[in-house]
Amino acid sequence: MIDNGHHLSTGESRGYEESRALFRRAAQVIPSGIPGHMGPVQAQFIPIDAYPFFAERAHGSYFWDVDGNRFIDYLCAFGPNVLGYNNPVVEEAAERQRRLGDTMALPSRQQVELAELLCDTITAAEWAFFMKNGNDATTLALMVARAATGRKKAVLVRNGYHGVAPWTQHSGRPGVLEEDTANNLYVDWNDYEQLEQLVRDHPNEIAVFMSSPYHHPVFHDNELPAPGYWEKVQELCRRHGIVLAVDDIRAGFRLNMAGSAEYFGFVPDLACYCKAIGNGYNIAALVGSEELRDAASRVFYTGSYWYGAVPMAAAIATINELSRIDGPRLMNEKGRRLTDGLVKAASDWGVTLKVSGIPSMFYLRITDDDSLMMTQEFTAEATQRGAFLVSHHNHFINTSLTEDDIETTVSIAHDAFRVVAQNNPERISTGNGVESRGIL
Amino acid sequence: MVDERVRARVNLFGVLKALELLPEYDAVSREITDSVDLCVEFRVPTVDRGRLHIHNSRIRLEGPAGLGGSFTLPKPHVVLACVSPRHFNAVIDGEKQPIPLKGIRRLGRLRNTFNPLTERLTYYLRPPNDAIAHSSYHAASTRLTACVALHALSEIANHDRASVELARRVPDGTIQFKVHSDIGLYVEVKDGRLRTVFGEHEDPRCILWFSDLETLDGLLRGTLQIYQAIGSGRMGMKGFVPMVESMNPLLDRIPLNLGE
Repeated sequence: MIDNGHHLSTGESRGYEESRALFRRAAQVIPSGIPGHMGPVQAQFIPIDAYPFFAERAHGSYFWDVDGNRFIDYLCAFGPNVLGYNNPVVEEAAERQRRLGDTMALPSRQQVELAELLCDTITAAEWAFFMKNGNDATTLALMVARAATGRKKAVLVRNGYHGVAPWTQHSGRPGVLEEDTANNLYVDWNDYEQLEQLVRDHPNEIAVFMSSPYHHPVFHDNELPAPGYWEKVQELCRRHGIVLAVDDIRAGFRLNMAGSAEYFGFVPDLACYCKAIGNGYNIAALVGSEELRDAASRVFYTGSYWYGAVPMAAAIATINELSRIDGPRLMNEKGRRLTDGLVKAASDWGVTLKVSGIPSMFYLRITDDDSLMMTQEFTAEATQRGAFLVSHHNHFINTSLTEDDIETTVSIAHDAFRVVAQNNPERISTGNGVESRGIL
Repeated sequence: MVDERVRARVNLFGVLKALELLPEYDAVSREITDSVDLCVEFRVPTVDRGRLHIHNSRIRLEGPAGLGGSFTLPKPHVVLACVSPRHFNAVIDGEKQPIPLKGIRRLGRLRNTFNPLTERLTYYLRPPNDAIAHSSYHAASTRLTACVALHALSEIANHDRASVELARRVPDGTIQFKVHSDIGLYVEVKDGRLRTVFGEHEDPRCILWFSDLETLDGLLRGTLQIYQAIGSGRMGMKGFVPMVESMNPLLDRIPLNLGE
């Protein structure tokens, strides 16, 4: 294994021969080779030859592909890596539990302790229910809301993401029926009046309003809630008996340990968690209010591996460690320093980089064209130089990211923006790029 | 269930549109249309009118533009009417005859030109087994099929009841379809309405490219493993990819609205 420990200098490109060979094998035995969000199509690896397909190992803020190339990882496994890959505190807790037992004939002590920890940590949590993936949590939230209200409909934010179960997708997609989404209603993000109208139009029909705490769609700038938005939404839901469910799967513990809702000043009835709570160990949770405890008890919802004690031990260690080091503050500070550097690097070449969302989950877009082609050129050039970036999705910061990593990334970005500027002379401004960003 | 009205639009503005390319790729068609000057208008109730002009080995097809329904092509020498969309579809399938409303004296000329042209088009769109081996045939067949498919796409998106809602989800912009150093077609999208145009757009919002005609052919005939093809670099996309993603369900509806 060749460990390319440093980013490559300008003009060099990485070899992905082993990735490609493995993909050819995968395509023989796995539909599409790599299905789902890590597939080269869905992950928007554009152009395809700029990206590796398979990882060999990971540590801290880095992963190494099967060709031995090292990358500073700004996708963090699409969120689960929050303390750094192979964090010793988490790994020790997981290993200790592994020796005792993982998936057993009965639930473990860890399940109770993790539920207690979540209730102590998250403002909205008076109980916790565990499963494996974010989609499990959002689907349970919908079921609990329906069980509690006796209503069918769910209001969702247009272009929001709550998983891959048929009800979360759009009819017309392969395998998704019109009936699967027949009870969904949609509103635009931040448009309270639209939501209010929808509630008026469907009296006593809406079981749940489900939304991420701020809007982080793919391919679009991320948007924070308008002042007063959540307060009004909360009041509207309370007034009409609608369950308010926040999907904190992506932002959970990257904004505030007490929940992103706490940060934005509202208290949801249900909150969905997954990515950051186990530092890569597979676990998700739905937490909720006292009023919904009975409904959550009555819903039958389970899975063969949902009681695994190792991920629960890892989650306890992860949450305690994040609290100890004030992980959200740390990640947002690192994210701020990084994105400030990226905006400056872009500006040096006349490229306008827009940073949106929260610094610990920044979304990048070059605003000099509306097609994302310049953004795709930038992320591809950066990835080939060792900073793993994509053009369609928000990125993630983890607490192990060092000042050296940030400096290296900004240096890589500088080289990448130079190429973008050279390739697009007709698009870039002659002056400096203008910074634009979200809060914090 | 096939909507005959939509299928008629696909036949009128999708299948017949490919006649425009035929003389370019097919020597027989060039010979048929050499020294010909003939303009024919098809009238299909509840669908539209379509005017086809054959002039010295060049063929142009257009529908009426704007509210007034005007054409840029010359006045028709021959007007052929159908009593219904189903009737027109049967005409295209070679099962029925249209009703001549104007230019009866030119019908013989039309029969000697239009009929053999549509036979040549059929030859390329429905490949006979022994023709596949010839690369020139194969290339022409792929180009013509792509032309039909992408023009059909716009008709379906704009007029098929089940597709109109899907089309509303396609973001505004232009999506360019191109094969390296070969054909180019683009689809303009504005407020859920699609328009297919020949050529290369100067500033597309999204590009779907194919490394060669064989890959495009596999996609059009449904034999290509798309994800594998992208993974292996035989095709790819760049730009605002939600345009392609939201267009996929519409692309799936093309075979439903094309005849045999």
